[in-house]
Amino acid sequence: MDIENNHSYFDDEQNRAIIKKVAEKCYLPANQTIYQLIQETQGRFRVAYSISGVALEQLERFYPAVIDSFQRLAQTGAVEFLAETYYHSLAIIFSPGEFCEQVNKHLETLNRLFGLRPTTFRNTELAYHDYLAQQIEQMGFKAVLAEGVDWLVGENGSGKLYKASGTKNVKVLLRHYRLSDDIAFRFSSSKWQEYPLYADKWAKWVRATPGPLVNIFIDYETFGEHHWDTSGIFAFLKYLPQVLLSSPEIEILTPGEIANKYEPMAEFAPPHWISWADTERDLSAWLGNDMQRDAMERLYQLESRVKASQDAGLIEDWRKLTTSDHFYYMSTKHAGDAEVHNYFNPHQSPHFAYATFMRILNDLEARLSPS
Amino acid sequence: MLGWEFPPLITGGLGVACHGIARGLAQQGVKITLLVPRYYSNSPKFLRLLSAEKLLSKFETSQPIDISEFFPLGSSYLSPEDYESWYKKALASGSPIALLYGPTLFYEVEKFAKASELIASKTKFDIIHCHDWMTYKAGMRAKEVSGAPLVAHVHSIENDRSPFCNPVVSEIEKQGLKNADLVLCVSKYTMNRVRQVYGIPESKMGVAYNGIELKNCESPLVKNPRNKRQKQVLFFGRITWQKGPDYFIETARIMLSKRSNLRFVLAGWGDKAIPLIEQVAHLRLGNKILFAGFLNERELKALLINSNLFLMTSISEPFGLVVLEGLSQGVPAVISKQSGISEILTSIPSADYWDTEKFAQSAFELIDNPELGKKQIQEIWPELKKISWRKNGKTILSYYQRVLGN
Repeated sequence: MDIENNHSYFDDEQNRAIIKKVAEKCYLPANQTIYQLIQETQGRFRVAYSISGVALEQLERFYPAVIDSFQRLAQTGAVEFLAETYYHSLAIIFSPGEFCEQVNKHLETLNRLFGLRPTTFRNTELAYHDYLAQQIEQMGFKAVLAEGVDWLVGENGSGKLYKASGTKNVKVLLRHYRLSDDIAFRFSSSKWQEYPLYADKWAKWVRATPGPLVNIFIDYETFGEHHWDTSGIFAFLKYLPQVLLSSPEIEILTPGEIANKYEPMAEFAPPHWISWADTERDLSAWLGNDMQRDAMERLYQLESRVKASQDAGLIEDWRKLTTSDHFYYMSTKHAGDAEVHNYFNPHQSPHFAYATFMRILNDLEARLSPS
Repeated sequence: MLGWEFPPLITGGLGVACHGIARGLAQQGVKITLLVPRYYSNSPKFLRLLSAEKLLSKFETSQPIDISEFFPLGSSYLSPEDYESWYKKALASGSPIALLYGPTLFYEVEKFAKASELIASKTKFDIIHCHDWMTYKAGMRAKEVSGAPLVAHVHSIENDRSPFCNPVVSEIEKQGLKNADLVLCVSKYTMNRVRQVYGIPESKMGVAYNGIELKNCESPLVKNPRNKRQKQVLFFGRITWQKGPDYFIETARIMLSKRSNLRFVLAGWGDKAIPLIEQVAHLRLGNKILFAGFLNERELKALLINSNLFLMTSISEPFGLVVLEGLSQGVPAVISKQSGISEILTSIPSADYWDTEKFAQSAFELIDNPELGKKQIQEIWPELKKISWRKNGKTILSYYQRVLGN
């Protein structure tokens, strides 16, 4: 509660501990496995990564060996890196200018670390609207990822490649959420009737899915963190390429390669913002209640004054507050989604998360005023 | 004397007041035996401290306590064995709240009354003095056994604490006050409330204002708060109906609509905290009205030092010790008229708790004229020095003498 006297908002020690834990349980072993699979298949197994700037920054600070292993993956030529907002934010909703700056900062980071210039964009939590596609087209992107929402495209609609409404030619790849979530959510659930899931069973489902595309997009922490090593998730990953590639009709491509190779089959025009979160698949996970809306609005209200200060430390602190997770912690949804929200929440409750965030915001605002 | 809390094992003002009253009486030469539910530290020299728990385990007869008799709700029945395990867990967690106001409060009240009966039958004394409803049954039991006169000391009544009075608590309170030979209230305000709510005649009531522990004799230095960029206005206390936090927030809203370089902080927690956090979010004032949560003594002091003003918006405040705490840290105040403290500190600006416009107006005056705040404290300090536990002890002794007829 030491407002105006203590401006240290972030818990480096906790961040360091979490990065170490997840690096050792997931990033390092998963990178190693994927590297081997690329080698074994002579690059026929291919993947794309979307890693936020804040994640890369923390890895560089706290566990640089992970960066090394991503660099090794980048050199295989079988890996695409996607662009996103550096701060994993929803800036596009509140400030298109800030959105561009955050994307550019991410591009600079990818260029510095991997020597790459991505052509595919994925927005934070797959938040998507025509407006996003129009913005990123102006920034030179060719393709974008979005959620394959049933009510919008039908049960098998995610198999098509789309053109984003209102753009010249931005291609939209839709996530096949059932096949993705089979791995990401249900894999280790013993209550699931398909449990245990083996690679050949899942590959059979992929073959049976009307294509031509089956876009799988999952949290990387699926491997070793959300599902522990003992669940068999790494064995699943190891066998997946061979069972998939044994079918001649299956080819594994990265999003950018798909966008280059195929032409759109339909137009994609959601009537409002969609995302991959919660059952609603909209923005309600971050903007569903008054606390979230107040926090977000008050934050972006400070943007012009923060930037006018030209104080690099202050601008950086403000930008770190735009990370969508802060607002996710303030969600008061109940039932199934609450489990997911609470699992990731370092705060005692959504109300504590909000109260803490607003004290920080107040302090930040006080730094803007002359003393 | 029958008390529910005693330092260091306290949850609020009651324990502090009980300590002060006993010490003030001891200074007048009164010999005191104080029975509390349980006690773990050494007894201070000025009284003889007894723990009901130890007493009962020592004298426990073969006849167990029949708890079904006094549990108002069958579902909250807890066997003594279950209670013990819960109690040990609470003790291990170190939470004094769990120890004093657990889910088995009525059981505790009855146990305490039994201990009181036991001690009253084995000790000689002239007068029984009990504090608030938890100890009233114990007081009545001791009176039955000994025939000594009963003094009931009212620090607050159920109607002050909640808009939905617990009928069991109200009934115990009513019986205790009716059976008392003298009802002592912490303020005239409280005396009027007791008369209105329970119909106790003024002839058997009296007022004994609480004292205050002034750590330094000098008038507190009114420092300019360290916070310079925004003026900080404070609420502190439990965030419950009784303390009127909604009126604090409404005052904040009015003030913020006129000026933006203000910060409002609510320190404390309670059943209204979560609904009020949501209300502030709905008002889109979350960046100006902040919730600090429960603070320890050191954190609270740091917060006070950085504050320009304290608003006490209580709906019903029998006394209002918090105001004195703020003033002694050099923080001027605007206070609710529905409080005991406003009777003594007449020069402090006050308003009816619902009159948020008036609160806002007085608050602006103090914020805009720091000299006014300094003057407030300098003027009040001599008055504060007059409010002592010694004086409180003197007053209570004279009431004792009246009851004893000499």
